[in-house]
Amino acid sequence: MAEVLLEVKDLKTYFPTRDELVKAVDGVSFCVYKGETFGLVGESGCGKSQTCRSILGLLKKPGRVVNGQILLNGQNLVGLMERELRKYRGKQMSVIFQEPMTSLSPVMKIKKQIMEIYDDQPMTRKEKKQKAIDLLRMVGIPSPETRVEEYTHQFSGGMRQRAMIAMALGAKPKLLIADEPTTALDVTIQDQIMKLINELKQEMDMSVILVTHDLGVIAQMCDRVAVMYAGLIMEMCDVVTLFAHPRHPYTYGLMRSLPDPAVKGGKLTAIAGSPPNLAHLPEGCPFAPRCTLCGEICKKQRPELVEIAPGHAVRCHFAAKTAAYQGIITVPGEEA
Amino acid sequence: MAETTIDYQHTQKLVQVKNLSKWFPVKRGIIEGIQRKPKQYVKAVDDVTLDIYRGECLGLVGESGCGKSTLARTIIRLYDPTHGSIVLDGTDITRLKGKALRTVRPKMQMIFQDPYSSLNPRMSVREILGELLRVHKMVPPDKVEARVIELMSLCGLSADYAGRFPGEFSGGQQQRVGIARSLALQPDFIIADEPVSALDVSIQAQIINLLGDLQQKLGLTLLFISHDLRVVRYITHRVAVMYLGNVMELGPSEEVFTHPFHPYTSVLTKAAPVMNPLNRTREYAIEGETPSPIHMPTGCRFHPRCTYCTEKCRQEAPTLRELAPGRFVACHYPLEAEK
Repeated sequence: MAEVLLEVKDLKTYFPTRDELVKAVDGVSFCVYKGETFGLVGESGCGKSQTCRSILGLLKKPGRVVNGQILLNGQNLVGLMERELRKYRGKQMSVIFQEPMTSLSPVMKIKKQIMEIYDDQPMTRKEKKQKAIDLLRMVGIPSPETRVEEYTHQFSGGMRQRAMIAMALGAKPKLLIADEPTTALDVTIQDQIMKLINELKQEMDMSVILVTHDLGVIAQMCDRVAVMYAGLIMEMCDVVTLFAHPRHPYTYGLMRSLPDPAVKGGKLTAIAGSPPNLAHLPEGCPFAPRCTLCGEICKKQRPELVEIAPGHAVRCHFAAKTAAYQGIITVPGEEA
Repeated sequence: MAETTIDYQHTQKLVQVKNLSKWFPVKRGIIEGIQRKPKQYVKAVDDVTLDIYRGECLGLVGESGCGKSTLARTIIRLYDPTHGSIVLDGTDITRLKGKALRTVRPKMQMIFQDPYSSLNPRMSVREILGELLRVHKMVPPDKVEARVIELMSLCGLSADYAGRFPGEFSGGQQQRVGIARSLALQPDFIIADEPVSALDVSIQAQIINLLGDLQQKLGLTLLFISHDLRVVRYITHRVAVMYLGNVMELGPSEEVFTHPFHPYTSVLTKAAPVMNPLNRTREYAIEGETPSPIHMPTGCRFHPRCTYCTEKCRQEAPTLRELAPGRFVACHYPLEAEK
């Protein structure tokens, strides 16, 4: 297997408030290899974004990493001072957020925002501007020479996201964290942005962590996937295995709740109930109250993330029972 | 729901929309006023003709800014139409005003995308639903409480929740309250504007099932607006595809999505990510972006992005015509026309 770029070990990110403790991330471990796209999928409030913000050191107050290690190329990022973190952000790792308008400055010209990346390098203004134009051209913005002189509001949603990507990739990071990069966009633009990220990833030999709630985006983009629920990874494996042989009841439930174009009419198989409150998690498995397989042990004891096959880890007491789960795709050559 | 079939030959048209347009004027600056520049309009809805049959679920799909919501809001007269006419159940409601309009309002209701912002945070569910029933005198005052409980249970909410406020509910439950409110006045026609887009995947299925059940049980006529083609294909009988304020294609959902006639419909279906990692597409579904609805392209409004565009498309706007029984398309060169 390829080299490990990022390793997250038992990460816990908590948000202490006056009367409760919100456990947004509660013991997450995974690694990202060089050149791969790693997907983090889950519903709102499952901790996928907070995991990313912890990695970047961009947690909002009162959030705090209370436990664990984040190793980027072997260097632990947890506990680093802001000044030290800046050496990593942008150059080693970079981020694209969901809503480009809120992460771009409305009062600065696009060129100024991009040129900032090179402020610490011995370059003339002219060189920096040329760099900015090249970046915009790379992300497919037409006539970049004139567009650099414009402001954010003159860009459309898709263009803004392209500009964000240009800024994120300006210093050639090794790791790109894309937090729901296409959620705010239309399907046709989403399609364009997904393909752009894929092309640039290959060109620049980056790793990507892709955060999304859309299984379709996961299927099209990722190599390996972690499914998160209530601050925990429930299942982690390669993307084909996830869609062909899901082993966690939650993953299975998610796939079954999607409308299947082949089956018309009838009822959708919904997952009953709603996600738990992160300040008052159940004692046992957080998914237990909604789970069809829930037994006595699930209510009392939280299951561990166990590797049930090489490269396939599941957090479920009854993982042995779930072998019969049928995914939504079949792999050619495998007998049903 | 989609499993019921509608006999279109013998079903009454509940809503008839003819050449409906809604243009919003663009504010001119003082200088433009002095220079007497021509007034500009955002043509959000531009010449739409559409029938909605009783008991059907009609889907309305398209990208953001294509005018789906404006069309819906104009149909139920939240906006005043610029041109055209709307006939609801035999009555022309295009120019109704004041009291006359208020008497038809209960017949058409709306479910909104964000359930939280469309519910009053300071009113309990009992008050939200009860107020409607009292104002419109749907039931005698002593029966209001019973009707509130009945509506709540219809939407899968326990009667214990009647005293709770919207903020105490999860997103899915809030949407259930929104649906209960839209049903309170026993409307003929409900518009659901992206009712599941703000919800989590695991909750979406619950709400879709609920809408399907209610549609069957109460014989509702539903206009279902969404950008999620999978959901629309699943829940609707027929679908209308909009682009830049105009209907590009209209027909039975299953047929439209499996054999699209309009190049734009085909692009939309191809752009939606396929749920199969073994089937990854490397080609772009489409280049470019939607043009501005102020400076509408000449001819067919899709021509700048269309791969089949010819000189005729640049000059002449195609009209919506019936290509096969029940299947309408606005294109000079429809795909698979020979079928």
